[in-house]
Amino acid sequence: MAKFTLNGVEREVPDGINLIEAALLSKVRIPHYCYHPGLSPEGNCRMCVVEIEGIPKLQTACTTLVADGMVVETESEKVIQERTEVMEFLLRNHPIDCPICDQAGECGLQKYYMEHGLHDSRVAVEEKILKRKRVDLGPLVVLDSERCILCSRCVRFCDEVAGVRELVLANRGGRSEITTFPGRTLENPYSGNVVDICPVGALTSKDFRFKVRVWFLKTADSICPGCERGCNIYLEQYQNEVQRIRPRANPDVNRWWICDDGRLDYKWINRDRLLRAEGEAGTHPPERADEEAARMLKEASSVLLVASPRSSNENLFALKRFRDAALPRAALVGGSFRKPWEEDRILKRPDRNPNRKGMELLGLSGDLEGALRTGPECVLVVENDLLGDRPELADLLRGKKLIALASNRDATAEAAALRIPVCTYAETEGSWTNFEGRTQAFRPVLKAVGESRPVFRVLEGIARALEASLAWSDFETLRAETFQAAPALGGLARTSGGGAHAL
Amino acid sequence: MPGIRTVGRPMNIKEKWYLFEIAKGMMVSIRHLVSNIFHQDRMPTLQYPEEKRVLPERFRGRHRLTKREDGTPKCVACYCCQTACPADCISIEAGERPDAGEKVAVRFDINILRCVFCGLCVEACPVDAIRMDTGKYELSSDSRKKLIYDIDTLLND
Repeated sequence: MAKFTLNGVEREVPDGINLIEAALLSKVRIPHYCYHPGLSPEGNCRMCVVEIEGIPKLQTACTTLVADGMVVETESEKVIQERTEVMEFLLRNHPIDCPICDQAGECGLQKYYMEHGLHDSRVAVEEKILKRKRVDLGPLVVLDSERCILCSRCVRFCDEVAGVRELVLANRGGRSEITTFPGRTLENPYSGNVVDICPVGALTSKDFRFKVRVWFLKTADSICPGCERGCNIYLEQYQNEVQRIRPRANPDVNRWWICDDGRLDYKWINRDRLLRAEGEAGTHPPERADEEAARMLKEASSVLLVASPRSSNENLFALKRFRDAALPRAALVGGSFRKPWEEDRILKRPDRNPNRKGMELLGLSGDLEGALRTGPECVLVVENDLLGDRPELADLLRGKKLIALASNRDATAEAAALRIPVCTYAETEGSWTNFEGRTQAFRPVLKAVGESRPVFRVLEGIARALEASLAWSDFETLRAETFQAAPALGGLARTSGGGAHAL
Repeated sequence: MPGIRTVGRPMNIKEKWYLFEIAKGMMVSIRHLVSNIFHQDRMPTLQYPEEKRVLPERFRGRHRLTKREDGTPKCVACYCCQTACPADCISIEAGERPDAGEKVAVRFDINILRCVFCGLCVEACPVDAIRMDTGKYELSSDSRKKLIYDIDTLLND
């Protein structure tokens, strides 16, 4: 531990951290552009300068480690004047682009200009140095060199995190700019992160380009459903459609990053949704659908319930309880035929199901294919696109009564005799357990689409129609019961707020 | 209701008798009648719609979208007007502009049924693309659909 004085107050912080982090521990924010906790410090933006007693010149807080007895001033007159002047330099050639810039609203220049600048420009618009605009850097990223403040976060990200040297700072002085190497594009599978870490509007997302202004977005803490890593994300919504996904910092899971596949894995939530329950005789209101499902399950001589490693722990537990309470003779197995993808050394895991581990810990795994081959008369598939993942199963399922609890119009839902709409992870509470056994909660950001209901509510409805007692007053009761019944899940893991280094 | 105190205003004898009050009211009417007969030029009534009022200079009428010198819309789809609008009547969709300028509104709808004519959109606009200086205030229509103005209507106002 090191004892140092910050703005006249003595603080004790762990050794070996820099002054930005040390100050943050006492809730003092030192403005910065080029520093990012996930990248090596470079000290080029000069925004984080602080006054340290005994050193005549101002020092960059990001490259200075805290030491015993250090006396640091972050708000002295000298520091504030320096920041204002740094802002003026950074804005020397900055275009007046805010109205057309996607970063507006979450821009570091806007933020610190309001806090530390507020000066009139001494440079006429015509005198500004013009650079390349709207440069296509790669499949996901657009560069606007005029807006760049040359903090080099993106260059360091590619070098240090993605492990590919794709970006570089070229030219000198006022004409310096970020560029790719000749003939190369920014196409590493983590390239989207440079958009998040860019503190200004220089690097913007092609996918999100001009879609919606960021101040209209509503955000919820969520978990990426893409693979069993369980990266922490922010889901952002406008007009009840998910508009983008951003990583949420969690040092234990994904640090500050997500892969590009995860970043783009939201379109299915907005598209091809199953809006009402549909049977062979047309659409049903929710209660009628539950009764219809109950009738089909009751009439069948043998029933197979299929759980999914994409369902939340709570929904899986509800399915288990449903079997015990309403259909004690039915077989219940979990599994998925989703094809694995290629693992990488950064975040991606091969298994593309976010809750494989949770399903196993709840005792729901088993031989899914074998169970299907035993020839059950009625199959209830919960959030599992069996036919989409493995079309060959169509032969095996032919002649069986298929009930699908599905969010989307996927192949399984289309083939089912009765399909009941359920909420996706963006519309309900829930938790997934990642491959390390870390159970992480996700929160809803959308209102339920169409007549979709959470899976456990649909199961309740079917159980009611089967005259079985199964009811939870609210989601929290179900969650508490789930964690009680399966202590191996370990309860909810600590999640990080993630916002401290938003800039 | 809780928190609301009713204060009575008892009438005096003269008021209770009403005749005096009626006469007082009639006097007002008669005064205006006589004055209007002898000073018809000072009469505030207009023969609308044949005759129309002269609008004050800063009258806020129906919106229009302004154009650049080359005839393209000035609007850059920054959504500032939509953000400022308290009635939530503007809805914009942005698109790519092939030449310099990058961003342009491909859809710009004003739902005039919702508009409260506050003029905050005009104040919010950073590029002077939206104005309310058309002086048009006769906005009735025979269908609701016609009262949602699209970008072409607004540009040609």
